[in-house]
Amino acid sequence: MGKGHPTAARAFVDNRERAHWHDTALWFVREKRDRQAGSLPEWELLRETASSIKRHAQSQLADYLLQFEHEATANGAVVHWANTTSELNEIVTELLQSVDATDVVKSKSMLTEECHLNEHLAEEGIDVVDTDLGERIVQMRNERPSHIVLPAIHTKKEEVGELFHEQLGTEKGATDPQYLTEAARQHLREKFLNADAAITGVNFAIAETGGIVVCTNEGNADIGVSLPKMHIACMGLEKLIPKLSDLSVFTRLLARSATGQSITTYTSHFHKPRRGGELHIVILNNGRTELRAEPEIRDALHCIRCGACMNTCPVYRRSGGHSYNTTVPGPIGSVLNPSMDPKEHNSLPFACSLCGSCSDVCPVQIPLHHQLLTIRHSVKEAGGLAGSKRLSMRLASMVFKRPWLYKLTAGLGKCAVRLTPRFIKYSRLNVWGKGRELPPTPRGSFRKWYDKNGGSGGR
Amino acid sequence: MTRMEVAVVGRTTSRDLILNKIRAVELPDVSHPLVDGVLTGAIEYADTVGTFVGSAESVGARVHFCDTDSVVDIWHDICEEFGSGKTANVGIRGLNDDDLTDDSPHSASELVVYGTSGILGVAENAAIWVSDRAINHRVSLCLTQHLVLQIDAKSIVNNMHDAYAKLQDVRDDYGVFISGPSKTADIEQSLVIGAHGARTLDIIVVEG
Repeated sequence: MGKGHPTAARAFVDNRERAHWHDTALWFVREKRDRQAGSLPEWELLRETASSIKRHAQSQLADYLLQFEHEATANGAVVHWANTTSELNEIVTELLQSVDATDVVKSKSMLTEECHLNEHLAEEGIDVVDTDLGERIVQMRNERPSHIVLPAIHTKKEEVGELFHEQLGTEKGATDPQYLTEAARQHLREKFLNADAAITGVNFAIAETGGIVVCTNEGNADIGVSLPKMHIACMGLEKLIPKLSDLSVFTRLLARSATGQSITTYTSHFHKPRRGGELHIVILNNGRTELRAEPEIRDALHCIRCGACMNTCPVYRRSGGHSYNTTVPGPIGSVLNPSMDPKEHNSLPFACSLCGSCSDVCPVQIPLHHQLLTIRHSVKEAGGLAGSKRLSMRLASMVFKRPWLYKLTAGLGKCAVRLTPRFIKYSRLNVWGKGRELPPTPRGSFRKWYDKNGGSGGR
Repeated sequence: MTRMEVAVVGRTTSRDLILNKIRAVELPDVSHPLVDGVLTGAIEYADTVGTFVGSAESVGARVHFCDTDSVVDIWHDICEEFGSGKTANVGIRGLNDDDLTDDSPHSASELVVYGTSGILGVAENAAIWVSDRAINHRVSLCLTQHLVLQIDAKSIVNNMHDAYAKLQDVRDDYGVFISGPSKTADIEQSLVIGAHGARTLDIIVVEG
């Protein structure tokens, strides 16, 4: 079992200044999203439509996958199927070996992170360079992305400056983002021009036309795949949408929800490989069909990976993406990961205040906080709840079920809180009291106030 | 069987395995919400061209207006502004000097200015649809230092719904909506124009 979220978040939370900076940076993105959402009167209609399209696609998924395979093949692409991550890694390795590729450029793909493809290819002697600037930064730091859209959001420009000074030879102490980005541009151009093959993720796969769509702001996917002979696109089977025109709905939602842009700079539609090139599309399952069988969780497969739920989540913003120990962190990650591997990730559904903000901003209306609550139930059923939580929950349930007992304990509790000395109140037994203060207890109680003012409607 | 053959059989099984797993779980039938791909009630602008210009400027592009006769002059002005160096274009009115005809697309890395024409523009986000139909190497669009796109004012539509409706019967090998020059905010959310793709985007809107 992995260490739980509270333990993994400790170091991040302890650095208050930095945690605050992280919180503010993400809230800034959330506000940009709000402005974009507010600029379209049809915003809610778009969300509802997107959700219905995804549900429709899921209901006829097998047919749409076959249609996609048929159309893509007719376009000249080769479609591969992988039931597990290791199958995907094998397929990609064999494809790369078939063209003697040793240097590969990759544009951002959370799916290949999920498969640990880079590590696998490194063992085969194939070097993969991530070309999205944020991903390149975390790759150079030997880290994993802490956010699915803003991979290096946890990193400060001083740290990037130092990193680039050491590895790319930029001036010592230089921290100007413009200057550092230019250095990365030069460094990665060379990688692009010398690459033997390119790997990308897929934002949308169109059953009707057999095409795939990749969205970037930097242009790294388009450059990466258009120079070498081989392009390998890796996608989860949930990326399928029925029609080309469905993209009108999703492209209007994606960038607005993700970064508060009206659209990404490049929304690239690949139907055929570049002249003289090869296009391979690998479709991955890795537990998605099992998720699809779970009535209360399956809507999580609608996710278009915009990251809006992370930007708004009070827990994510204050604990950082790495505290989740997963490829996809935040609310959607706290649904996906425990559903696929409950033992490893059973603390994640509790890294949540059930405020529901994630569900409100989700562009495809995934009921995230309801799902998190559902998963909490399954964790409890499976006996995965920590002892301290089990005990306190049982006590609370006992009290809440009995009004007389509630009345008694509320009265006693108020006195107890006032009279108990600090060292006992905030002792190690009170896990809740770590970093939190109890509010001052009021003199009166709601019950007394209601008896006086509530009138005859009361008991 | 050779190793490759074993692998191929394995893959076929994976395909069937996945499809069977999907078919084993029947989900409630949900109809597609859009009839003929149309979403009714999407935003429309009184002045689509004006809105397009506003959107373009907000994503960091420059917009030039002109009539048919002066397109070429503007193209030359832009090339001159970016100094000497390799320029090429296909489809800027009356011109075609995309001489990147060798097999390798790598030659496009020398490009300083590349110009071509877009099929349509979208007012809500300044996206311009460009396909590789006439282009020798599709990578030219991103690998050039500076990009110039020409569109007809009449081709500007309100929103993405109108745009995809127009592209419905188009099956471009490669087509891309380009909205502004390449950019990134991966270092502390500071916007930097000029990530991997073109550093600048000039849009020539042809009226009349």
